[in-house]
Amino acid sequence: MASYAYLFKYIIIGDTGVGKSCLLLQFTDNRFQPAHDLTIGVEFGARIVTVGQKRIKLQIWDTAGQESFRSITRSYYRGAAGALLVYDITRRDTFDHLATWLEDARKYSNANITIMLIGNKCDLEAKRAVSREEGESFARENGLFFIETSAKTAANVEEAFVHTAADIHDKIQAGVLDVTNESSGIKLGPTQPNLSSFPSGSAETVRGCC
Amino acid sequence: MESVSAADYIRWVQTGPSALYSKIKHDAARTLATDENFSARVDEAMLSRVLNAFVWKSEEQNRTLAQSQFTYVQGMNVLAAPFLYTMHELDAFYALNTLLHRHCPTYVQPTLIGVHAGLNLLDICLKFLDYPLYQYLRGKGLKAELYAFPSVLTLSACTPPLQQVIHLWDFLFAYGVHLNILCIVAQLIEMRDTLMKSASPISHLRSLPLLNARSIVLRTLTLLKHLPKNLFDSLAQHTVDFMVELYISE
Repeated sequence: MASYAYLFKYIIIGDTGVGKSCLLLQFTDNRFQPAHDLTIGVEFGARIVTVGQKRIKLQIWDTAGQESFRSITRSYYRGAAGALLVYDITRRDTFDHLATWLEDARKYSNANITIMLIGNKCDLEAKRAVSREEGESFARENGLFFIETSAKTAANVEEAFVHTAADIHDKIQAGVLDVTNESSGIKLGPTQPNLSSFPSGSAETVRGCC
Repeated sequence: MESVSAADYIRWVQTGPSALYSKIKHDAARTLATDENFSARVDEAMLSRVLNAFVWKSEEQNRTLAQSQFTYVQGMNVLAAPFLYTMHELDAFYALNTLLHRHCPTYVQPTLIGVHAGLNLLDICLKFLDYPLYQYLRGKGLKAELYAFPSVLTLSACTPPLQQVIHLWDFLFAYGVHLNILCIVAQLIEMRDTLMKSASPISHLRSLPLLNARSIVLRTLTLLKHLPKNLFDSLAQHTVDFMVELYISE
């Protein structure tokens, strides 16, 4: 049941309060929690999706949005194959800050990272402050995928995660990403029969003292 | 706490919204939001007022402080919660102020310098006190930074139930808030069998098991006896000494 072909690491970034944790919860647990505690530091989630015929495990790091936590966030960019950059379509400032987030992502992550721009809270059409066209055009200019989602109604949440996985998978097929390189954010799954006799974890090396 | 001035507090409240008020308001709504006892007793507006007044008070004080700069940082909302749960708003404000200024000033700087030091110390203490567990987690790429950030920054107030947090805080205020780091080690050791058997220990560390203050305190006091003096000294200093990052390395 736990077998999978690949493991992809994701990071979710964006301003505080745009709904990063709610997107993750909707994706991993299929529920929306209107009263959600503020994320401090980093939270974590995982789920298996199917791309083509392959089972792929997504390991997702959900980061706190506030400036004070930026140094922690930065340490997660390296080793991420996918990034979900989220803004809130009802708060203009969260869209205006995208350039700063993108600058950080470009600076600290792998050159081949797949970035999905997400305009969240699209169920709040009446409060919309950023048009879909603006989101699309920002994504186009910066070479990002784009989708509008609602963590509340679950609209497009699955698609955002799966589409990103499909693109990473395409890059592996095309030989753009090296699965043997840990910093690519990709690992082979424990499906190979000749490897399954290894006790998990023990084969990994531990950094020595000092 | 030496004195409490209602007039001062009222003045800071009357000054109105600070530059950080919209952030504070947003975060107040997301403070222990899943704890019904808390939301039944503490109004969001109380929390916003206390934190906003703290920003004004800090702006007055920052001018006279050399090393530190106080303002609102996320996590402070959780630190304010147990005070508001147990005290009147005015007392809670001054108690929070004493905690932040006197007992863990390095934790609430915009750089969170003390929290980062605390996380390093947590790794070092775990390594010393339970090497196999440390090594197992490390082998999985799990540093304290990944799983203990909320527990360090909020002095464990992020872990329910709040009633147990209050007991744990009584201990921390009596012995020193720096011991929270050992309280986290104690929690890890309590769940060590589960962690060591799990192929994916992070899934058990997403949030720590419900707090049991009594057993954590007993275990912490035992751990404390095994800690070498230099490590204890670093622990005792890290919440208050702004040079802390200079002398902590693994």
